[in-house]
Amino acid sequence: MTTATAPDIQYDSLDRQHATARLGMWVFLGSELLLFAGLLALYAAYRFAYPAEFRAAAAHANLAIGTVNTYVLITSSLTMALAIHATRGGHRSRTVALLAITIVLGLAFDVLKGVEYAEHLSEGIAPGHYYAFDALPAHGAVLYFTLYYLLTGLHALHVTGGICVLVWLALRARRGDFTPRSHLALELGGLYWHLVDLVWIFLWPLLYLIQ
Amino acid sequence: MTPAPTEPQEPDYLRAGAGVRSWLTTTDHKRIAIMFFVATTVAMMLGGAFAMLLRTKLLTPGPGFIGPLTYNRLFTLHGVVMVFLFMIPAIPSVFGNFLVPMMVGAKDLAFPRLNLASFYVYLAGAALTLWGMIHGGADTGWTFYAPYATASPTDVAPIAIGVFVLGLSAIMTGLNFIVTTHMLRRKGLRWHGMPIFVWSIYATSIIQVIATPVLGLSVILVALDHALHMGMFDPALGGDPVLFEHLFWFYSHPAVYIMILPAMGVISEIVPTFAKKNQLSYNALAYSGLGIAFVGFLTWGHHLFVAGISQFDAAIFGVMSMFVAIFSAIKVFTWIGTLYRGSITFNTPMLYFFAFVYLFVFGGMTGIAVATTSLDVHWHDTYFVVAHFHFIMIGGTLTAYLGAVHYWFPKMFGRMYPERWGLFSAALVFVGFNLTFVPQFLLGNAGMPRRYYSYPVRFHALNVISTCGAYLLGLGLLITLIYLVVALRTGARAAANPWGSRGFEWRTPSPPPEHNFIVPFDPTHGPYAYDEPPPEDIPAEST
Amino acid sequence: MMKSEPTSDEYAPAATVYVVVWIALVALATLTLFASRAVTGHWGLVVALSIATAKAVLVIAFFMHLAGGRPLHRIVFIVAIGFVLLLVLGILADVGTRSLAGPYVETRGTGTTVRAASLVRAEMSEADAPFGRMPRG
Repeated sequence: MTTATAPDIQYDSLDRQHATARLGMWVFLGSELLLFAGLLALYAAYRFAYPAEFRAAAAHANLAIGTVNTYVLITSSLTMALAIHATRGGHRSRTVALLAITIVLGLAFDVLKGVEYAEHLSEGIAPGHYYAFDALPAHGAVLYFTLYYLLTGLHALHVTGGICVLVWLALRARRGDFTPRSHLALELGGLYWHLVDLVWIFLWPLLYLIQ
Repeated sequence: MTPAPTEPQEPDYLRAGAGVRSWLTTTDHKRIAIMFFVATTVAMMLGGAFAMLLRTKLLTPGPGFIGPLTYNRLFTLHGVVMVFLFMIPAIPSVFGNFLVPMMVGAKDLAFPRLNLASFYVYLAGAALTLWGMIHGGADTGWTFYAPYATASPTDVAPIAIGVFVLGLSAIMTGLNFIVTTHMLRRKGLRWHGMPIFVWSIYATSIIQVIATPVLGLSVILVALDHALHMGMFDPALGGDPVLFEHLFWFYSHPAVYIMILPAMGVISEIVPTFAKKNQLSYNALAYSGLGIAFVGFLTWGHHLFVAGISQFDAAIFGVMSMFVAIFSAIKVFTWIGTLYRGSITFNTPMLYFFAFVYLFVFGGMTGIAVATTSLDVHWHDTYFVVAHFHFIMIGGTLTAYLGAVHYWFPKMFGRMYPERWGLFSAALVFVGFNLTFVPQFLLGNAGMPRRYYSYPVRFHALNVISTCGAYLLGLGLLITLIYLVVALRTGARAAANPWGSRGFEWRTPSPPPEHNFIVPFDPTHGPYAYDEPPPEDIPAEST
Repeated sequence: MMKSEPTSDEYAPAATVYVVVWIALVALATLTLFASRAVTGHWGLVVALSIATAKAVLVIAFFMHLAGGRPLHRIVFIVAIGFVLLLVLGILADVGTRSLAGPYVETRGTGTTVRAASLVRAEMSEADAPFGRMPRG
């Protein structure tokens, strides 16, 4: 991911190199989808097996936090897209500001998630064999919450990684690394961030909205 | 005046930049290929050593020189090392890395630094797996089935995580090849002008990128289950162990196509060269590879026939498993048809080709046999299955790999291997292999289960034959390694194109310069155009 | 837009496009909330996933620029989604049909007798067979 003025030796032009990097990013995003696919498949199988328990367990999920987090991520996608838009227009400080807002929203997501986990753990809702929630001892509920931790945990890991990338991008933007024509790292970072939002768009109804 | 295309003005890639540091920090795809070559060869020897220990124990039906727990650890490690450290990376990371840029006329892969990273990630995964081995190793089989994998007293987690890390390396490699094929073909080189080997690596890479993340997730779940009692597949928590098998085999069946597709690509390069004839049908070879890659994803349930899936599901998977063989058959008939009326050279790569055809067809047909659900009910988890997949993996992939090693040895190292030794050890490998695994079909059919430490006395004779075959096979491979290492120093210097091939990689000196081509080749003279006179930029064949 | 390969990521919608998409996403998320109260059970899942898909399409098309970008990117993404569906549906095809047609079971020891699943499962209680009791015979 370079904004150097000369392309690497195997490329004829910087444009070609950037187009190649974009394709590489899309292929990587495809592989990320497949990573979540396994957990989604397990969710599908166990929800099919334990529909009533899943419904009962989901009632104990913190819908408020989950919903706020949904709006948080949707908004962070907007600010990310606007940040790249600002770079295109040559507005460096606006880019940095929008990236900063995106970072803050991402951190808010993680913090809220942490609060949610802490709340669950204090009730005895833990994954797997550590589950100790007496109000809902059924097998299906244990599996629901284990899947909940695995799915949201894997997602939160990706959010955290994304925040690190965004911080690095914001620093580079502040340094003036990005030009209106050449800001490949921003584009690629943006794609990753939108993927994180995309996954949550599906996790939210699957985990929180089972009625 | 432009230099002749094979007169080097710059040093070749082996000599450009000396010292360990220049190798360890290289981004030259050819050097990375050589580093993978060394690493995967070490892995093969390690996996082979485990196999020898297993077969030696099986000389006796009862207790032997190793105990049952050690035996279980050994077959687990044999599988893990052979599959993840050798078979999956071998042809793509060695020959794919070395040749794909050259075959598309590029100076390197799309992402050279990612390529180097994939090597170090491979080493990290190997180190983790090795550490797990030293700590006693897992006894679960390379398939890590729940619920035993989560309950096993052995240290499963490091090996499982090691496999996860190796998977990351594979995804990086696959991503690189996909993007390179789309974006770095030289001007004038269309998809249908590329060598078939690139198509094969491309199809392989699609499987790598799509399937490996699912494996990664499944082994992480095993590690979490074992270390932290997550219990996703624990019946005590209402979980279903069969779901693990679904996730695991969703990757691991396409994985076998990761292992065989590059091998088929190698064959598609060797045959036209030594038949001096164009492919019978370029499109058949190109598209059948994509067909295998796609249909291969639809068949994973045949590993679960007796695991507890519904008969309905089993039936679907059984039928789909037969479909995938159609594409392999298309390839085999195309290769044989290419030989027809060709001018055939009989040398070591071709001997490996003949071995490949015979063993792969044999192995493939036994694959159809075990895909038949009603038959697999009896053969599942017996030596019949073991023989089937070793026929494909050794008889198919390894013979093609050895063919590739000999075919491209002059290109990679600038030396010729000794032909007589090549023919001799190829014959040894072939005979040894058959002696090892044909008895195993008989054993499995007679009911001997796989992964068992001891067996009934009536199976003794066949086991002894199998072990003798294994020693012969090992000897053949060892001899191959020795004469190749010796040839690095003392082999005859190779010309740019010792085989008289039309392939693109032969239109540059042996070994190639750092940036692959002195003069860019003309893609309008195709890689299989034996009906045309050789293009000017190919030197005449030298002995 | 030129048909040849774009020299840069040419698809650059105006800022208002992004804001409109954001409003749509917020609206759809809110709609999902109400829909989950109104429509329950299996149809509730269908409705929720449909709305989620609509939101996803908006994010992919406009935020991720797939709408105006290279066709190859669309192919890559669609292929990946296809395999995600394959994995999920493949597993559901198993667990969903176990109550219709039980598994093969083989006993070893005295020949190779294939026993019907029901004989093995007969002693299991409902709780032990999460995917439904196997049919008899």
